[in-house]
Amino acid sequence: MKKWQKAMLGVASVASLALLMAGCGNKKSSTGDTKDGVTTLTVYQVGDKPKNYDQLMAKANKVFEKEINAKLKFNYIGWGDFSQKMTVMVSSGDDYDIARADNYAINAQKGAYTDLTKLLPKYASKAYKDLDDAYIKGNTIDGKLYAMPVQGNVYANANIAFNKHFLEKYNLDIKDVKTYQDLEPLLKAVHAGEKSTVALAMGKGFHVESNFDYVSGNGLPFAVDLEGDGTKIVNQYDSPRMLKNLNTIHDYYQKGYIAQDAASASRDYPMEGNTWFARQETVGPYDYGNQALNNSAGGDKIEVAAITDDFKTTSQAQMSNWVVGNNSKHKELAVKALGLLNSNPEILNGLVWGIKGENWTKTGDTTIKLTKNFDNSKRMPAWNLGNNKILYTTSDTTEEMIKDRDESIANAKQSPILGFNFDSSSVKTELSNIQNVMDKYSDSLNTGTVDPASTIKKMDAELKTAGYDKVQKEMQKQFDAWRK
Amino acid sequence: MSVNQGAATGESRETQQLEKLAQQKRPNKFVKMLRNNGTFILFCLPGALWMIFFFYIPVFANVVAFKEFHFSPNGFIDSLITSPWVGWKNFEFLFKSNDAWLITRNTVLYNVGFITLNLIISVFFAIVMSMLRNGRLTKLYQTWMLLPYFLSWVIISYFVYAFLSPDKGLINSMIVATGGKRINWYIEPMYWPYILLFIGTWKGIGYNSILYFATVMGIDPTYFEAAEVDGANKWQQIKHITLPSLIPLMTLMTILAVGRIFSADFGLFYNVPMQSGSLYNVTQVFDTYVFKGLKATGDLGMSSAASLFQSTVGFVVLMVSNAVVRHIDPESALF
Amino acid sequence: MEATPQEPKKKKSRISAVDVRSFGKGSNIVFNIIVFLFALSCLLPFFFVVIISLTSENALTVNGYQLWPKEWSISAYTFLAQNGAQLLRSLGVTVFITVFGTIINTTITSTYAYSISRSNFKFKRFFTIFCLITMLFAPGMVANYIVVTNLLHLNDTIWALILPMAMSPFNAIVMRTFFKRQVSDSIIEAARIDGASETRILLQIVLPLAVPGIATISLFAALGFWNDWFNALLYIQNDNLVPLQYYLMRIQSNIEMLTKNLGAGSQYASSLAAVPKEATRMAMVVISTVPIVITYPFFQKYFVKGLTIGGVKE
Repeated sequence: MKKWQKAMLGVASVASLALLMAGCGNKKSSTGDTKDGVTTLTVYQVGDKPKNYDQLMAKANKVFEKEINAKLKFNYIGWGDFSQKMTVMVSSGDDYDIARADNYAINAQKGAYTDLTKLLPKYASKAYKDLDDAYIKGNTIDGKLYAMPVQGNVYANANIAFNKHFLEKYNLDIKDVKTYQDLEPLLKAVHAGEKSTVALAMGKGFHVESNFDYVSGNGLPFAVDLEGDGTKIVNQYDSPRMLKNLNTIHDYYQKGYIAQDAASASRDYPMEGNTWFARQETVGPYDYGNQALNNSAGGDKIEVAAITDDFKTTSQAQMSNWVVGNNSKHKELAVKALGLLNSNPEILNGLVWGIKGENWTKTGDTTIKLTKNFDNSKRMPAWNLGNNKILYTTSDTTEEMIKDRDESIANAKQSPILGFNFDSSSVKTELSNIQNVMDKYSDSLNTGTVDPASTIKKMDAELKTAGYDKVQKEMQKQFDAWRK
Repeated sequence: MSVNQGAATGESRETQQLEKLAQQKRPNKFVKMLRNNGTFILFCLPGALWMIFFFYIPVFANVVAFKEFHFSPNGFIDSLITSPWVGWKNFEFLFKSNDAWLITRNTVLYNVGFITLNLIISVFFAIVMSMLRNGRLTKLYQTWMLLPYFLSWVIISYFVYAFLSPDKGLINSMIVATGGKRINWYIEPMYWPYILLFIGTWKGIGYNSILYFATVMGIDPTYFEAAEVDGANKWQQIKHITLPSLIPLMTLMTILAVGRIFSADFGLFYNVPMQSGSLYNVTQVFDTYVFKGLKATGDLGMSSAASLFQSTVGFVVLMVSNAVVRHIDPESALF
Repeated sequence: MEATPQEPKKKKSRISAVDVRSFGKGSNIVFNIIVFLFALSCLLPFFFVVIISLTSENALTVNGYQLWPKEWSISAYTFLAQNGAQLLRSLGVTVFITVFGTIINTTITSTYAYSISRSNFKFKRFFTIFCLITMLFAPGMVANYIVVTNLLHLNDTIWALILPMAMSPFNAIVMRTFFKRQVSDSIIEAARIDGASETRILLQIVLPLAVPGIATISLFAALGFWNDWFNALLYIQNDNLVPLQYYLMRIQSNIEMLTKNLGAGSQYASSLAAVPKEATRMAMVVISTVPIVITYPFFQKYFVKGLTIGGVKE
């Protein structure tokens, strides 16, 4: 008996020694190699690799090499796995250089990213100066900025997108659509006339929007009423306005405008098809009205009508953040690279629009024309790559549209909680309970499957036992302290 | 080698003598030990190394379950050391929830159901298939029955959906065709315990029944012949020959399953009910609860706490049930 | 039952056991029907997957999943043909890690189990407990990641897909019991007296007796390797090393992102326009399951036989 105990002790000590070795020394890894004086920076990006990735990056890297003597290597991780992979990488102290932030606020609070407050103005001044104030405010956590935000839709509002095919067929007008309630006659017409078309397409994860901004995302019941008292944190489901909207949706559900299995189905209604008539979409200034939607539908097929107001919110500001790893060995260089990516039109447009001459040709200083062979899979999406302001625009984006865009951005109000990031560490237990309660009710409530008033009552009772009041109090306390 | 082997019987005495002389003849003893055990040590070495690298080193990180995890720029080890201790706080969300009882009940009851059903149905099919007259057909059945085992839960959830979809599902179409009223399956909790039990069992039957089938086929045919001569009918043969010979395997499978009584098959409970909130009371199990509760924060401490709790409970239950079995029938015990 | 005239002939060639234990003719039909129905219910989902993979995207949205679609289409397969190269490469990776990994896993696990099953191994108790302890906790993902990347430097190598699953302590314990029960000490003692080395005892005497056990754990291991995508997610960036399941997983998760974020379509659409949809997803399941379905019947013969040998011995 004693012998094996001794042996166990021996093994344990050997193991812990090896563990220390693993942690302290021996940090050589494939990232951040330096070859011929050119450093390769590792970048983690979400989504699918473009088909001609090597070609795209060869062009971009030429400029990177010339300007800052570095190269970028993008590693793509699928949407569903990104969060998990980043959690493991961030927790393990991996020495990646640049990554698209995942769970930005929480990880920044825990110290996962490099503090860029001083580095950005110093090494990426051009890109930094170009940023809308809302981006800096929205990403500042405890007085420090940890991200290089991708400038794009700094505000965005919920829109109802309509399928033009049916608008024309039934001669419908969307000019007066400003609320969910206004949809009634349109939905009615289409529902009556079309058997195999869902009048109002929605699925699992749908949320009824109503001028609220959310402290921890729209999945949790902590919101600030943008039309009311902007200093109070409330449960959005308790507001009469929300109840009215939910009642309307429930009414639509009962009338059959909404698919009967909306609460559980995650069906895809292809944008270009005629399986849907109306749907909710988020649209921002850089989408130029219905242009972005039309692009993904492949033609002039969509009309939009906004149902919420323009507010610059934290979630929009944090929509797509580049962060520099805390254990990166090339922090300054990484910031320089981010600066270039967000300020150099040659790099960014080459990546976003694809290879010049193949995918597009130039028609002016900042205007382009897409070629006939334009291939959507041979380019990178703009919204999570670099400053949308320096993107070239296609010929259907008029100068007036660009002027409108800049004006609307300037005119958009700031949400009262823009830049407020809740530190949840003292109420983790309660939050996970609340998350589970919301999972139980959220989908059936938002898709109109159940009666709102009675369900909200039940939900509120459960939220209370889950510790809602404690979290709300703590949040309000931090919010009050932050506003001062 | 062979000379040494012959001395095996006198080993203990020799060892005693050697121990007396230990101080003088240490290297000798070591060499002897190596000679006797060297091959075994060599056999164990790869496995032991693997466990050091993939268990004993990383397992220390479990202390994070008792810490409020923060990142340090000096890597994970440093983060681990510098993060403050918080005691049992990370475990609280498992017990402080209003649903703690519900989740425990669901997890354990479903597992009890699966264990029972699996045992009965697998053994039933195994025996029946061993008695079918056409061997080729039996093989074909077995191959078919194994198919669900290879399909992921996501795929099976689509399949189930094709049957249960409220407006386009096959079952509702049939109900409507016969003049009944549609059932919105995904918001009616009352059906789901049966649906889940059925599907969870169904998926594993093929695999389990083949295990039992093989054992049945291995029973010495002379037993059956003898029974036939004695005039025993088929049922009596099953009862007195087939079933008793299956008991060790049945016990083994049950102990293994009991050890996982506090872990639920995540895919079954998460994907198959389409994560419908209305079914929460009958579909929420430990694994889905942890997943949903932590998906927003991804807190490392809390997820470690959950898995630590789960594996500890599983281990204790496994040890206890094994001890019980060993007490009754030492031959059937797992170890 | 036209086989009746052949019956006597068959009787001679077959082992008598089959007939001794079989049902009477009447109950044979009844039970055949029961088993057939159940087996059919198992086959059905696979058929169903094949059918969805051949359903047009439009019909899927309008009618949902149907056992007999209104509109057929092979577009899913033509899409896959475009990605055929990657698919084939991934299949190759999966086959390699399944075969190679299973061999490694089975070897390491059973030699370990054999050693700790032997009563004359001095450290058997130590190594048994060493193994038992690993069942007490799960080591945690992050720590494992550090070991693989920083200590072993397996990042982006095929080893990262094999080594993390190269042994199963749990199976080792099960196998230990198996060895103890199947291989009696007296046989081994006899061999030792004959002068056989330990390695020879294992290879020539113990191994043949242990085939059923090994068949069982190797099937477990093979399925584990075949279905593994998580190690690939953690450790693999190189497209040449992406196993099939992870490749499918990646495409699937990208589609899910699109459907879940119906409301944010405008922002995601452009990055996902090229991603295949439902039917393709099913077509991929077909492709990833077909190799198993085809190879299993061959395997089954040995598998069941292997298990049966163990039974006979008892």
